[in-house]
Amino acid sequence: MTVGLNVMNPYQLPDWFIQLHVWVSENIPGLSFIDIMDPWQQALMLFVWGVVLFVLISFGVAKPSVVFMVLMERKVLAWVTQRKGPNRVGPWGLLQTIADGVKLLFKEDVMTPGQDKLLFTLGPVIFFLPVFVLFALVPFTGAIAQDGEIVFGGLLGIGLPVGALLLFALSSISVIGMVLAGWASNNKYSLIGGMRSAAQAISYEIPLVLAVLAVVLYAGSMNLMDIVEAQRGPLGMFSWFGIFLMPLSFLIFLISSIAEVNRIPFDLPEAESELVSGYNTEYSGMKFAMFFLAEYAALFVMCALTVVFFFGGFMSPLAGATLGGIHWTSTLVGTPGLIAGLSLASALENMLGVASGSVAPWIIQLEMVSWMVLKIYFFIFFAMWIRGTLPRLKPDQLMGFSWKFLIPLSLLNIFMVSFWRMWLPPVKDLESMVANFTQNMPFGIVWALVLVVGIGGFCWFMSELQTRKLKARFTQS
Amino acid sequence: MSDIQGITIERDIQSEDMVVNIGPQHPSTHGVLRLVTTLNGEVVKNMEPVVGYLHRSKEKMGENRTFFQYQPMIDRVEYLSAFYDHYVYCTALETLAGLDIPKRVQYIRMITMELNRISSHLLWFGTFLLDLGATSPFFYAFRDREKILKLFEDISGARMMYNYYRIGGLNADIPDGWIEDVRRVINELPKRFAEYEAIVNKNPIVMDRCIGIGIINTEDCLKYGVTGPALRACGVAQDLRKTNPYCSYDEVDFDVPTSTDGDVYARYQVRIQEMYESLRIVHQALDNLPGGEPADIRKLQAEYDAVATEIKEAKKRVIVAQKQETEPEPADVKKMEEEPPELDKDWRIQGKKKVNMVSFKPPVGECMSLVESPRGFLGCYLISDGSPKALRIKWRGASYSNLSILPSMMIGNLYPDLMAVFGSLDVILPEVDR
Repeated sequence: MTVGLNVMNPYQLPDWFIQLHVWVSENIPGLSFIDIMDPWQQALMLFVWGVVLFVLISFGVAKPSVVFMVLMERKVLAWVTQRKGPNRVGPWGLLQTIADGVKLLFKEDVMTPGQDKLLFTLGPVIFFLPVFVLFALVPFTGAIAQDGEIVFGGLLGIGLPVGALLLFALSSISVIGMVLAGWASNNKYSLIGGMRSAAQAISYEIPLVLAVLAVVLYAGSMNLMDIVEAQRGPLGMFSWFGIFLMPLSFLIFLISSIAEVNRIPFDLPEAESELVSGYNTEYSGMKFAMFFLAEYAALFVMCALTVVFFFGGFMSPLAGATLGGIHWTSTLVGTPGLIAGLSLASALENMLGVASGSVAPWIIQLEMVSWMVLKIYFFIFFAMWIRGTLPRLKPDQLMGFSWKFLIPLSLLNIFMVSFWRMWLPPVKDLESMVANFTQNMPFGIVWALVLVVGIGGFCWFMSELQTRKLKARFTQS
Repeated sequence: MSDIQGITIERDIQSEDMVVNIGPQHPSTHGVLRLVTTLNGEVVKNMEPVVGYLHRSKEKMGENRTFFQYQPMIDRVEYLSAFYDHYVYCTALETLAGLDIPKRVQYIRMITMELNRISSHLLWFGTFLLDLGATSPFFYAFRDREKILKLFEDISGARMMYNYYRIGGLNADIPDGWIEDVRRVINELPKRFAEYEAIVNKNPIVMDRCIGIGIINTEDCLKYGVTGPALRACGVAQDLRKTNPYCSYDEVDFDVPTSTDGDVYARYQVRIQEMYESLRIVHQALDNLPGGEPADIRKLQAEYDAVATEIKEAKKRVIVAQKQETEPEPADVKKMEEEPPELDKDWRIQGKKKVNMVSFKPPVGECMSLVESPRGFLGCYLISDGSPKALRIKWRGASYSNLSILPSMMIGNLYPDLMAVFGSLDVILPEVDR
C-alpha cells in the first residue's frame, strides 16, 4: 500500500491518515465512494479531517484549560495576596469553576429596554468564536517521521503555510464583538469600554505583529511548524532568539499580547473602578460566560503563541543541543515542511543506542504535549502574577506607550534582526555556528554597536523625555 | 484648543458632550456619591457632586436623645475613625461641664486615636490603589488593619463601632496584656509600611498616574475649607495636634509631614509619612502611660483598699469602745487618724468628679471642639440649655469640605484621573451626609 501511495500522494498524507480513510471507505456504508487515490478527494478529506481535528482540539483543549485557568487565576491571586482562595467545592476547590459555570447557565438572561437585541446577542458570539478558532492554529505537537516517512501528523487542527498571518487576522475580529457589545448595551460605561477596546486593539496589534514579523523574518516561514523547527539549535531551545537573539522581540510580544487580551495593567475596556465592568456591564448568564470564557481562552492562545514563537513550542528545552557528549537531536529527521520529533524520548534512544523508532510514537507525542502545556502554563502564571502586582494605565498613557515606545522599538528590532540574520544565519550545529561567528566578526561588531547605541539610546531618550515631562509638570504647579 | 496636563490638543471636530451619572451605585465612589459628569470624549468638562444619599439625621437624633443615649450614634457618623468622633463629642461636653480629665485617660485616648489614624490610612491606602487598578495592596492593607482592629476589639469589644470613651473618662480600663499586644503590632508595622512603599512608591504606572494630577494650591484649600493631609500636601503645616495641642499631644514628640507639590502623589506621601509619625506617638505614649499596666494599678489599688479597710475597722472599733465607754486601743486611735492613701489622680480612668451618665446635665452654654481626624478638621458644635438633651448638635466633617473641591480639580482632566483624584482626597460618604 505504501509503495503505491508514494506515487499517488501529492499532499504528503501520513500513513495513518491513509489507513484511516481506507478503513472508513471500506467499513462505513455510504462512504465507499471515496477514492483515496484521487488528489481532489485527498484534498477534500484533508480539509474534512482538519475540521474534525479542529473541533476536537478547540473544544477538547480549550474548554478544560479555560475551566482550569479560572481556578488557577483565583488560586494564584490568593497566593499573591496571602489568602486561601476557593477551597469549598470539591477537593482544594477544584470544582469551583464548574459550580460557577452551572450557576451562570441557570441565570436569567437580562435584557433592558433600549438595547439592540440582535447586536447585543451577536456581540459575545463574535467575541467568542475567533478565539476558539485560534486554538486550531496552534501546533500542540509535531509530526513524527520514521525512515523519512511520516507516521503521525501532529496535533494541529489547521496547518497552513500562512498560519501566522491567519492568526492575527482572526484575533483582531474579536474586537468587533467588544465594540458591538458596548454599543448595543445602551449603557454609557459599556460604550466607553467598547470604544476604548477598539482604540487599544488597533494600537497594540501593530507592535504585536511587528514583533512576530522579526520572528518570521528570521525563521523564513510563516508556518508555525517551521517556526518551531527553526528554533532547534546547538544550545537547544535557548540557541535561537528566545534568549540571546531577540529578547526585545519577546518583550514587545509579551507586553502587546497582555494588552491584546485586556488584562491588568491594560484592562481599560473593563476598568472596574472607572467603568463598573466596561463593555460587559449589562451582560448576564451565558452571554456573560461567553465573554468570560473567551477572555481566558485568548490568554491561553496568546501564551501558547509566546511559546511557539520564542520558546521552542513543543520541543524539549534541549532539542538539537549537544550536551555531555550526547547529541540530543532525535534521529527521527523530519520531512521538509513538517517537523521532526524532538523529544527527550528520542534522545534517550540515541543515548542507549537503541534503534530509532523503538519508542512508541504516542509516547513522543505525549512528551511534546507535556512540554507545550508546561511552557504555556508558565507564561499564564506570569500573566496572573502581573495582574496581582501592577495598577492600571490611563488611556492616554496606554496609547502613548504603544505609539511612542513600542512601535518605534519594534521597527528598530526588525532592523536589528535582519542584521543578525545576515551575520549568523540559523544553523543546526555548533561548529558552523562558531565558524559563522568568526568569519563574520566585523558584521557582529557593527551589530553589537547598533544594538547598544540604537536600543540603549532609544530607551534613554524615552526615559529622559518622561523625566522632563514630569519635571515640567512640577514647575507648572 | 484645550489644555490637558500640558499637552495641547487642537480639535476641528466638535462632538456632542456625554453626561455620565457616576454613582450613586458605583464601585469607586466609596459609598453612595453621585457625580453628574459631562464628558467630552474622556475629558471631564463639568462635574457636580450630588450628596445626601446616606443622610440619616445624625444631628437631629442628638436633639432627641440624652447625651449618653446619643453616644452609640456617633460611631456611625464616620465609621472608619470612630474614636475621633467620640473624642470630639466628649471634649465638647467635658469643656462645657468643666470636667478635668486624668492623664491616663488622655494617654489611652491618644493611643487609640493614633492607632485609629493608622487603620484609617491603611484602608485608604488599599482602596486608593484599588481605584488605580492594583488589587493586591488592598488585601495587604486589610491584613494589617485587621491587627489594629483586633486591638480595638480587645479594648472596646467592637471592631468598628467602639463607643469606648465616656464623658469625663473611659468605659473601662485597658485589658491586661494589651500594652504588650500594641507594642508587638507597632513594632511589626514599620516593616509592612516599608514593603508597601517598595511596591508602590517607585512604580512607574503609579507615578505616571499620580504625579502632577489633581493639583490644588493653598489658596483654593482655604477657599473651600480643605484640611488634613490634602492641605498639608500643599505645603501648609496645619495640624491641630501641633498648632492647638489637645489631649496630651504637647507631651509627645512628632513631626508634621508636608509636601509642596499639592498633587495626588504628594497626598499619598503625606499619608504614608503620617502613619510613621502616628507610630512614633503611640510608642511614646505607651512608654509614658501614667500607671502603666492595669494589673499593677489593680495591685496597688488592692493594697490601698486594704489599708483603707484597716482604718475603717479601727475607726469602728474606736466607736464601739466609745459607746461601751471603755478605753480604745491606742494603736486603733493612731490608725484612725491616718489619711487613707489614694491612687494618683492621673492614674484613674474616670475623673475625680463622677459623672452620672443617665442624668448628666451640662450647664447652659455652647461649645465647639475641633480635632485633627485622619481626613482633616473634625468638629462638634454643641448648644446646651441645661437639660439632659442637647439643644443643637452640629458636626463639621472634613470629608464634606474636601469633597467640595473635587469639581474644580477635575474639570479639564481625564475621566480615569477622577479615580486617582477622588481616591486621594480620602472622602468617606457617611461623614459627608451624616
